[in-house]
Amino acid sequence: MLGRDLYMIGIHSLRKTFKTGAEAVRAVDDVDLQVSEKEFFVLLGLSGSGKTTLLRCVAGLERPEAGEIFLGEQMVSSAERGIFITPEDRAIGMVFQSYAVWPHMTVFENVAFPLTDGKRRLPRSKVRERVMGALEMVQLSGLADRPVPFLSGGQQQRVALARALAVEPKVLLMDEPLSNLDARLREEVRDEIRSLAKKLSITVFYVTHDQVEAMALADRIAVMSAGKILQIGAPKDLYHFPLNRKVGEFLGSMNEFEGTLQSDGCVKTDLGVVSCTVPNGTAKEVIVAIRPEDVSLSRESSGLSNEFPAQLVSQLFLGDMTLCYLSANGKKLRGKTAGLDQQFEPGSSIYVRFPTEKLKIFPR
Amino acid sequence: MESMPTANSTLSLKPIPWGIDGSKVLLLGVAGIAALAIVGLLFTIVWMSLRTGVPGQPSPYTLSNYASLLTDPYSYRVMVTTLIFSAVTIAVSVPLGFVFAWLIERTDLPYKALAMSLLSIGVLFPTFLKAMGWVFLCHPRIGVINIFLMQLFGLTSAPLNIATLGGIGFVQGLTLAPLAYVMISAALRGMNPALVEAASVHGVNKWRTLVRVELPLVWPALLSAIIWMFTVAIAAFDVPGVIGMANNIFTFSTAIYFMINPNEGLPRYGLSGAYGTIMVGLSLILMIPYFVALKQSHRYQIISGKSYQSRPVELSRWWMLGWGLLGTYFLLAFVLPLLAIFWVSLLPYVQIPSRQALAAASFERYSAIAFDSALLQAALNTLLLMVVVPTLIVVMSSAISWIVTRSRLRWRVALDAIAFLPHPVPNLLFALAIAYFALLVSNVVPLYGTIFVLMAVYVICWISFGTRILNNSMIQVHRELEEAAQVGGVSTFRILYKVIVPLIRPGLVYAWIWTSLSAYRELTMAVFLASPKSQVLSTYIWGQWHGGGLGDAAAIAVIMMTVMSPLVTSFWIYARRQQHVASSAA
Repeated sequence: MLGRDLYMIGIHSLRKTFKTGAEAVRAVDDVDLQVSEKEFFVLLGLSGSGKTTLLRCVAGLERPEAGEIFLGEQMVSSAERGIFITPEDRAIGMVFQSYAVWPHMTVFENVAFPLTDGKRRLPRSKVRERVMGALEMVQLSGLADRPVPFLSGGQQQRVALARALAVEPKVLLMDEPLSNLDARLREEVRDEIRSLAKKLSITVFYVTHDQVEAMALADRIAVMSAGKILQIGAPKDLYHFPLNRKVGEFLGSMNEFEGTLQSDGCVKTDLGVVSCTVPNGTAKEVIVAIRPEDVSLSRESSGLSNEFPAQLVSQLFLGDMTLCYLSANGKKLRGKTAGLDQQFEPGSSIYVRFPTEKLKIFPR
Repeated sequence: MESMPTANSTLSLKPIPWGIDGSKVLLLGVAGIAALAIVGLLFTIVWMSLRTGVPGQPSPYTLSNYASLLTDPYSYRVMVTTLIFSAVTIAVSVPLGFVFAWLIERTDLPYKALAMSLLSIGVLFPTFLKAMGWVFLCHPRIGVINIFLMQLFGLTSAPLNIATLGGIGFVQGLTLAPLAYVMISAALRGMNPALVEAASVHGVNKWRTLVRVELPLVWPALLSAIIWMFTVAIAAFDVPGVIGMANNIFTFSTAIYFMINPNEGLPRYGLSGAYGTIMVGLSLILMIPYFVALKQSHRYQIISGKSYQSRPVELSRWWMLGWGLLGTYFLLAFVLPLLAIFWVSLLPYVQIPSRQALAAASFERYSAIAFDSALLQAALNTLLLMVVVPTLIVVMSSAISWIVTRSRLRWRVALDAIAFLPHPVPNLLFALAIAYFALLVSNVVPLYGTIFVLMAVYVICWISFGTRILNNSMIQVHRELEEAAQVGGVSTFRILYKVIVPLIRPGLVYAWIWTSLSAYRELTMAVFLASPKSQVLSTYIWGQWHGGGLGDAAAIAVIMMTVMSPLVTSFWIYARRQQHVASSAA
């Protein structure tokens, strides 16, 4: 651990296996990652990818069987050294998927309970101030004396957030906190969480399966699948430069064509020969991928490279854009046009062009 | 985070072994003691069956008890008697339970809530009192109905005889009908009404739907109810004890009682152990088909969050038949036996209601027993049990249920199974085992014959009830509610009493009151253990009854029920309200 940077969360070679009957599922498989101080870090993955298990390991709610976890400079878990700090002794706050607000307490009592009964107890005189401050942050100060079952889902979520913030944690852990809210509310709370985290300068470790939520919130995203981290990076990097097909598909839809790498550096696909920048050492059998919004559509041929004739099969008007289903040389592909400014008639012949810099090449 | 990490910053940390803290050790300890007691007492039964003589005496291990059991024609008679008794009990209770369940769950019977309340409250009244009532009604010599019928028709012999195998089976069946109703109605409620509606939509009439669709779907639940009734009948002591024993009809349970309390000679602990071992084996083997049937019935049930209401069967004018049946049942099961007891308690000797009898009626017995110091002692003992037993049960069951539903210990499933054991295994065997154990250690610890032995066995046997209730309550508390407190830095013990206990309070109160009422009415275990200084109300009545003091027994029974009525009623109101709250929360 010598020479570590100012990491708020350090995870080294972490492993956690669950046994269900005869089967053993490796939920966290040799994971390494670091979260910097004040960073908003999002762990993105499908259900069953092990992301929640990883978060729960950091919280101390699961006990890893190998590897180490640091919170700040404190080693909170090391299977090798037999160190395991229980959750109550880790200086963390956590927001749960089910909110987990105690239904037999009021809003105030929920937020105050860890401060009056927990390890990070405050003197009685300070509790009120701290609780009201936390409720203020989530705009619930008016409802302090309300029993929580009388609150809406969104309000209960805010109580859970206030409770986690009130202990002034070094690290805030959030386990799919928005998944129980309806779509409109989700966006609203999402943006509030981001601005609150930045205002308070706290480190957030956030788990979600929703890539839009991840991109909107994160400073950095780690994509997780089958217990392993596939890629870590800023949302833009992950979106535009995925290291592999899985990450690319995870962050948004892609058109994909199987192809063979030619000696001239171009890729021969069913659509035709596509010229692109191929990284050195790429295998011969590849997949060429491009996001629908990167495909440029036009009525007339532009004469540029990577342009192919296509048929417009159908289109879906989605308000802010129109999704076009196309067919080129018998291959189906999708394109997007902004709003109403570019309209084609179904069945009409058009041209699709793949800008070289937008093409992604993955090994097959 | 303010300072740079240093190489030795972690070395100052004390390693904590696998998240065990003091409160978890305490919980494990409490649960462990309970589990050990249950398993220990079951082994005691088997152990005593392999020994002869009086407890404490040196004895070689021997199979002679089993040999004498197998060669004695008496044991075969007991076995056949028990089987017939169980068959009659099932034949009476299950059809009644099914009809009640069908009327209440599937039809538009008016005043359903009243019927449900009466059935549920009826369960709580002591069975041995109802049995006494039936003796006063239909005994060939003193039965009020018999005397009445003989006078009316000029008969020379009594037309009805409750003191027969069929008679005690009938009375036991009547008292168990509400239990059968509860088990079957749960199955009917869980059944997907769309299956029935599909039949009627496609032109199948009500009767055929009942026979071809509903019954086959309910059959597994019905079968599990039948098996359960069988285990209850084998274990039943109250009715065979009150009516059968005096007339030389012995089932397993009363035969064991008679071996321990013989009219002459020494108690035969070894032989009773052999009988007990067979009963334990039988009840555990019966659990296999019981759980198989139960699993099958769960497969047929719908699991849906929405309450899916089917259109009830319209009874139209037939509702009178339904209520006629329910009314007759309540009359036979409660009203008549209890009235008979009250009537007898007013008279110097048993006679049928008449003008002369009414003239002789008085409350003299009541004023006489008011000054009975032994009765006062029994009442105080009962009160002590009613407070201490439920409290211990709630504490121990909470520990067990927390471990079973919350921890990830590998042994938690075994713990749950052990806590369940006293449910199918006849409770009188636990009483027998603890009596034997107390005698064994009586030189070291003078436990035998004290109220503490009763207390211990009640707690051990009813932990099965407490854990069933509390497992259910704790499962409904989302795990994250606990984890949120953990992350907030709250210790396990504080989480338990500040988060979990308030959330499962209805379950705790329910378990407390139910076991308290059970301690009030319990007879079976008490008669095995009560000594002159550790009498309780039920054993006091039992003593009066078998000592010939029928009138006094009746008077105390009336007092007992008078005290119990408001308790039961308030319990019922509480339980209903909680149920209402629970359903509205879901």
